[in-house]
Amino acid sequence: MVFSDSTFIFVFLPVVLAIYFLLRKHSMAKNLFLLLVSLGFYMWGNPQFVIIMLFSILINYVFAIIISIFITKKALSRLLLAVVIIINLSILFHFKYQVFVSENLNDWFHTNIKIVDIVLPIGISFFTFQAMSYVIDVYRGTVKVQKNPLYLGLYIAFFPQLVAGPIVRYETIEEQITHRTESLLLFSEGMLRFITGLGKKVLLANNMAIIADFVFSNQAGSGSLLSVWLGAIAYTLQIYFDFSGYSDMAIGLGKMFGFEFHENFNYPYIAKNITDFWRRWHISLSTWFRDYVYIPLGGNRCTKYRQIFNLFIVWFLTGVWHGANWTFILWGMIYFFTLILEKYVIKPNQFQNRILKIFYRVFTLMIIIIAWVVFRANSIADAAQYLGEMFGVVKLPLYNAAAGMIMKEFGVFWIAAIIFSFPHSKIKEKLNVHWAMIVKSVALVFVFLISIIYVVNGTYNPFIYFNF
Amino acid sequence: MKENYLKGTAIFITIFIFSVFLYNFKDTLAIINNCGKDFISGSTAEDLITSFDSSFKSQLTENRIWINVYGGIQKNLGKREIKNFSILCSNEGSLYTKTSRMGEERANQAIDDIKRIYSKTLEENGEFLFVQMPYKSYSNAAELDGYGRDYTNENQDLIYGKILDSGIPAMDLRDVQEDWEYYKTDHHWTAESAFEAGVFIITSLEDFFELEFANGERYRNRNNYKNRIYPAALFGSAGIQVGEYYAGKDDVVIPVPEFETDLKWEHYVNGEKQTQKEGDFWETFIDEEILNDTQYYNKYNAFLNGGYCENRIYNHLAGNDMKMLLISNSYGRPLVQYLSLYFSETRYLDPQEGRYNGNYLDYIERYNPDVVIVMYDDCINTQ
Repeated sequence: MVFSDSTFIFVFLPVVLAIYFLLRKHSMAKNLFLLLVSLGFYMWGNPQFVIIMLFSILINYVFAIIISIFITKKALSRLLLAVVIIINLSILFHFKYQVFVSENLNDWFHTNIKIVDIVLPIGISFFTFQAMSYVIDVYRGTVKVQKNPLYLGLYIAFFPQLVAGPIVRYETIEEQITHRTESLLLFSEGMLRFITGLGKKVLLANNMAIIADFVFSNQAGSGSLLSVWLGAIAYTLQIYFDFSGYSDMAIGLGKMFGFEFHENFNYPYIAKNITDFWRRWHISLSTWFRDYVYIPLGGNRCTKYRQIFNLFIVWFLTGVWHGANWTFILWGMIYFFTLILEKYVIKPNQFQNRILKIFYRVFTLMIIIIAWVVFRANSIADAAQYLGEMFGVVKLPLYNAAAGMIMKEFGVFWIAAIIFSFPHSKIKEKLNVHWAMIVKSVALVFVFLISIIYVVNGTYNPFIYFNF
Repeated sequence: MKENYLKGTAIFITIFIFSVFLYNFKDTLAIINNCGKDFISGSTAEDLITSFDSSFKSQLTENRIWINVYGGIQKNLGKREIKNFSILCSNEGSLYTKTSRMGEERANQAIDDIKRIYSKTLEENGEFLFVQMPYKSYSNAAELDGYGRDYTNENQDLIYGKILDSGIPAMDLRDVQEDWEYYKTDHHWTAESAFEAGVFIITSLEDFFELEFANGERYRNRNNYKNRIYPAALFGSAGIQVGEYYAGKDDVVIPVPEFETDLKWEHYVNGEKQTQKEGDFWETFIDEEILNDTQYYNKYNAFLNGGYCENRIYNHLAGNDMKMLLISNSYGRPLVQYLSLYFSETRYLDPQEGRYNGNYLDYIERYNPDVVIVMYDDCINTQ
């Protein structure tokens, strides 16, 4: 089940809201209810994988308690931490990477490892990382161990952020599990945030997806220079609105139930440089790697070469986290190399010249688009082919009928997607004026109704981050 | 003040969501009840979830307002592409679906099946004719250039080329006439085009095999037919996906013989007779209830009473004792109504998945037709 689905919007959500608000005065009951519906939500996709979820909850619950008991015995607690991390990563490895590793070992070393067909449980990367962060934080002493398995289960399995993030830290909701209060204002903010996310996903991401899929699936060499660029830009917009839209819906749903999650996106495409981009894109993931990989490795409080090594590990893992394909690793490496260049060579944060700053923003956006092409491709060869077409290595005509069609047919969506990629803080300030509030309210209702029309009509609705 | 607007908007949306939920509550309970019964009879959890999901979504879209508003939005946006290029709209408002490439392997499988049917027909001392049918394609619509390639013509050329190479008697309806008519909101040809196709096919049978049809001149003369018209009645397979505001509706025009006819039609599914009708052309072939039902959109099912599987037609005034077998997709439904006028007995089988999927060679052996017409571009069960 996905949020932009009529079953979710017109069955699951009203039922859950109704029962939850009947139980809201009873802390244990409402949390237990949320846990049960979250597990039910997860089962809706693949019923058998709820076992993996329950096992993850159990194993992290048990180990966190044991670690907290032996917290003063550093060596033992460190060993226990290592064991539980290995268990978590082993589960992830089995479902997500085993086939990829086996295939590559067979190719390189002519081993005869049997390739088994393994179905990837939805959201396994998200909830595994979320669970690991909890145990690590218990070890570090930054959070208190949760002795109630239901509450820990709710933290790991809570349906708004279960399958596509944001990756919520336990410290964020530790207090909120037992001491949150729901209010009409918070519920309203949540509902409107949900609608904003729904609009981003259904109206913008899905239409950009149609363009991207159309261009990427055309036979190699049959496009034009303009059409391949439009395809790449469409995918750049698709992935942003898809993922940030889903994050908006997750944050909005959390608010409806009294939870406040951190923001996961901050208009990444206005980034001044790649470093800035990664402070704006999938913030919960980048901070996770910063806090649990980069800093423990030494971060930037070490020699230059060690820093570079640390960054390499982080970006290698970031690529690998996204999927079991060389394209994701290459995608991570693109950012590694660019970040190294920025940190030690280009140093864009020291630019004074305005033109240079603007140029570097455009350059940053170019790198991002190129990286997304690699990210989307099925193989490195496909990525090379597509990039070759974009940069004229593979000769294509400048323009073709498909390019004209893409611009004309989706004109409204292009304009909306580009506009909403930018923040509108100055306009937002003005929206406190009475008449402007009416316009905003009407616009949100309009977005909701149009989104619902699209949802009910079963229009194209892919979810990229569901693969993670 | 800002808070009041926030709350008001959120409350409105919440009420809307709950209203839709409550409006569909009774039907949703019925779906859950059905799922419960399936669970007791052993369905897996995954099957139940899929069943609930698809049933709920179907039920939601039964209210045409969703689709009509969606279509209205697309029309106002000037969209020619609907639902990820699954439907395209030409300047004339005709809706098209894309056909993907058939490929050499599948084409060869189809040809092998057709060859087997040809051989079997000869074995049974019958005459065989392959008819390459026209099909609604947007290849010639210049305004749809750039919307992705439609492989209809390419696939048909591939099949027809292999047919000719095999030396099988064949005719190409695309050559005899360019302007075949199709319903704007559907993928089928019109009944008038089906009539014209019938005339061309009969003429070819006469030319190829020197067959003689006693009343042939009467049957092929268009002036001997009167049109019955149902204006803005048909809302076809493509139209149903985009709504009335986008697509409009088609007139249904049916050429009906003014001369005397005496026919009987039977429809069999899995070898068992499901329905039969008899009388004149109109009484036998046309489901008038469907034509008059304003809530039933796909009027194409009025032709041959929607007979989708095995159709048997007896013509008491044919003036001969010839038997014909037509193997065709649903384009054959209006066509066989006119072809059956020339033969004493006609059988029409649709080889598509879920229709008549028995062995066609065995059928020919049992039925022993004098003429076999294959108007189908894909695999047929001959194994």
